[in-house]
Amino acid sequence: MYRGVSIAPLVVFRIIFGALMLFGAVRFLSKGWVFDNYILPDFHFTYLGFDWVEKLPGNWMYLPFILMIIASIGMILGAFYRINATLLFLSFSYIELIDKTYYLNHYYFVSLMLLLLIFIPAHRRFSLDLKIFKLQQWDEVPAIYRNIICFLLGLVYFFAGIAKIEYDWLVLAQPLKLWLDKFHHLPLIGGILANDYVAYFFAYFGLIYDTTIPFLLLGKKTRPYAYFFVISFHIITWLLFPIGVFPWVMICSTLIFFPASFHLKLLQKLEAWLKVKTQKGMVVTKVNQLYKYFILVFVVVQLLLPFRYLLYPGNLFWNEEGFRFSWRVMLMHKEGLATFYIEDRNTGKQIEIDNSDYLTESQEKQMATQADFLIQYGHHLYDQFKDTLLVYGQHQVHLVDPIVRADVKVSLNGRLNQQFVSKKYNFADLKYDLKHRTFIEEFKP
Amino acid sequence: MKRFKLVFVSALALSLLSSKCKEPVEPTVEFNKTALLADYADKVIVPSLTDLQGEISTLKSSFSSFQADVTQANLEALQNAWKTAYLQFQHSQIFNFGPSMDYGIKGAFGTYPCDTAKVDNNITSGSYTLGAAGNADAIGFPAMDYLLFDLSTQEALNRLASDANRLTYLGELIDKMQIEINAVVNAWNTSYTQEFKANTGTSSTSSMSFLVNEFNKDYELTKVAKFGIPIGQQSLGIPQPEYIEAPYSGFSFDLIKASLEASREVYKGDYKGNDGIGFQDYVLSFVDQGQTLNTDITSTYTSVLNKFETFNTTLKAEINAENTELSAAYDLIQSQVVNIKTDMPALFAIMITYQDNDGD
Repeated sequence: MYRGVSIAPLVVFRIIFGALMLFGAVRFLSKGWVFDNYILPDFHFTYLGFDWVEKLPGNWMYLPFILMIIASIGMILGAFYRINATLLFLSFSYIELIDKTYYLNHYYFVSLMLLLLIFIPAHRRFSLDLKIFKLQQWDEVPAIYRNIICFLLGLVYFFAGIAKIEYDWLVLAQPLKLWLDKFHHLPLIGGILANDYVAYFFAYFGLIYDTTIPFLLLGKKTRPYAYFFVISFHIITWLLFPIGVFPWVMICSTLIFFPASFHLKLLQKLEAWLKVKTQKGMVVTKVNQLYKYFILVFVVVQLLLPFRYLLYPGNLFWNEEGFRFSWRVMLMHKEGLATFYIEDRNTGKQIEIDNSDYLTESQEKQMATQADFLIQYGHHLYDQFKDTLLVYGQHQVHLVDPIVRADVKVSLNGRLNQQFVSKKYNFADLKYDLKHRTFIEEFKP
Repeated sequence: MKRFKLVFVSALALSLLSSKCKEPVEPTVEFNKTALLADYADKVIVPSLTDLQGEISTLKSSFSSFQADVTQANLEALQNAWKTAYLQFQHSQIFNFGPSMDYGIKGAFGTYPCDTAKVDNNITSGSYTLGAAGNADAIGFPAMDYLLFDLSTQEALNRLASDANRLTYLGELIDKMQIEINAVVNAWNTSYTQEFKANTGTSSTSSMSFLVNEFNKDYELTKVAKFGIPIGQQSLGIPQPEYIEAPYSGFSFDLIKASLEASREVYKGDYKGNDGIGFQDYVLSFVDQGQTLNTDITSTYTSVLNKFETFNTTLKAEINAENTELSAAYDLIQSQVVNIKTDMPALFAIMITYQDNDGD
């Protein structure tokens, strides 16, 4: 764990990951998503425990993205590496924490990786920091730094794999069947892709790929073949599904599994090309005691977190309790319709809420199928209407403590809709916490 | 390598084995989505827009006759032409994408309630730009509802006869609509039909997504704006008759019915005797749930439309009479939303959101 190994893989990883972050930030900006996702909405769905995270006013929301661009360039160049890695971690995580509407497993992965990178000395070779701070080059560093990166990557695959061991995926090949059906119109391959056998093949291949690829990447002999599958698997998913930069993140990141000699050669070529003078570097085999504890905690938490769903009764896909942060990738297709009502306690009369008055389309889509979103939205509506004087023509109604009800219906993986939440609950009374949500109707398979 | 082959072979074997299982969700009937798009374009959308173009052209000639000879009989002919065109518009407005979106005809033809003070003010001042955003609620069918029907046909006639500006304004409203619908139909006939048919797939910018989205939006607009808001669904049951569509002609129930009927036709992929491949056929291609869902959708359309047949006065009169059947009718309209907005897109697996965002 602490024996000295070549620093080269870390340096290459630093450059690649910095480049990915740069690309990701520029892509996000160019798609206009900063405005659509963060400036336009009036209300945001914060994470439990992070309700203090607020967005910056108006166009200031571009600031964290600009910081990310600067910091990722810094990371690529190895200039002020630790500051920039920290800045990158903080700005990226800050953006993600504003609204869980946009939660994606690979964003969470990126946040975790950036956290790890802060403490990894990836700037001790081929970096501007060596010049700026007159640092000595390191040739070998404790293996733990590279191992923890491999661990996180392997974890993502492995848990994504075991998450596929469930009825809909294995027996019904859903939601793959639904998703692949859309390729029916394509000439030649369309008929093949929309074929049921293909859905089953993808389902089982995906399962086996995810659960075995970390081990195949670790094995010396299997590695080249495994990497071939990494590339083909991710390119296929990139072509078929709208999954953004995730395939590129994985294709690039898994290079870390390649032998140090591969990275060293690459690095030496780069150094020769840019005429960087190298020195004989130090061999470092010591790791800060605090860092060891940090890694221990990190590993334990990451191994346990995906299993927290076991603490909840009911169907995981229906209730989504303990669903996030568990690498459950591309596992379901949900559609929902959530109709909220504000009820006057005195008369029992109601206002039917038009969700588009309060939420964007993306927010409404997430809200309509997930119980924690429903609670937050219910509370938000309560805040909008409590102690409010409503004027309708000559009529005036003073709502003191209105009841917030919701009629929610959800369709899971192409099944017909079922009642998700009925109108009998007052959302103003429902607590947003980690406890099991008893107001969710039971799923009938 | 050995391990690898093992993985590969077992993946294959497993997938072959498993596909023998019986599963409830499966589109067994081969469904041709290219044909669906082609039929919507050729048998539904273009004929519908062309019919609207024809009705507006009739409206224009009725206006010309009336302008030449301001009589009650000619006004009544004009009123009838307006009604026919407005009813046709309930069908044509569903396809609010492509050229219709570019020319904004849904908003330009049908924004209500009409700001009558603004209309009067425009007429008096004589200086206005009908296309200006501020005039969106002083143009189109709703403004004509006011000009042609306010108080009584006799009163409307008197005002139009005595005020040349008023007559001019009315004519300009029709001219504007004619220019726009001509442009829309022309765009579909020259290039957009091809573009529409070629834009396959299920992304948020695909033709399929446009169709399903706008079909749903229009249904919900009928639910909320034409009916829900006036009867008080968004105001603690306190009616808001000032939001009724076409209040001067008392024509709102006919518009609601036309709109629901149009929705049903579009669901089926039918239009005036054209029997095209529509959402219904696609839904039915999913064996089990498809049958159930289709039965639910078609029977709900029937009961909603039957319900509205039972109202035989105007919406305003029913609201004033505090008819409790209004909210029963609303519940029926509402009960369809989950079928067409949740279950149908769930089967189609399309992106019903605008945003082209990432998933994982």
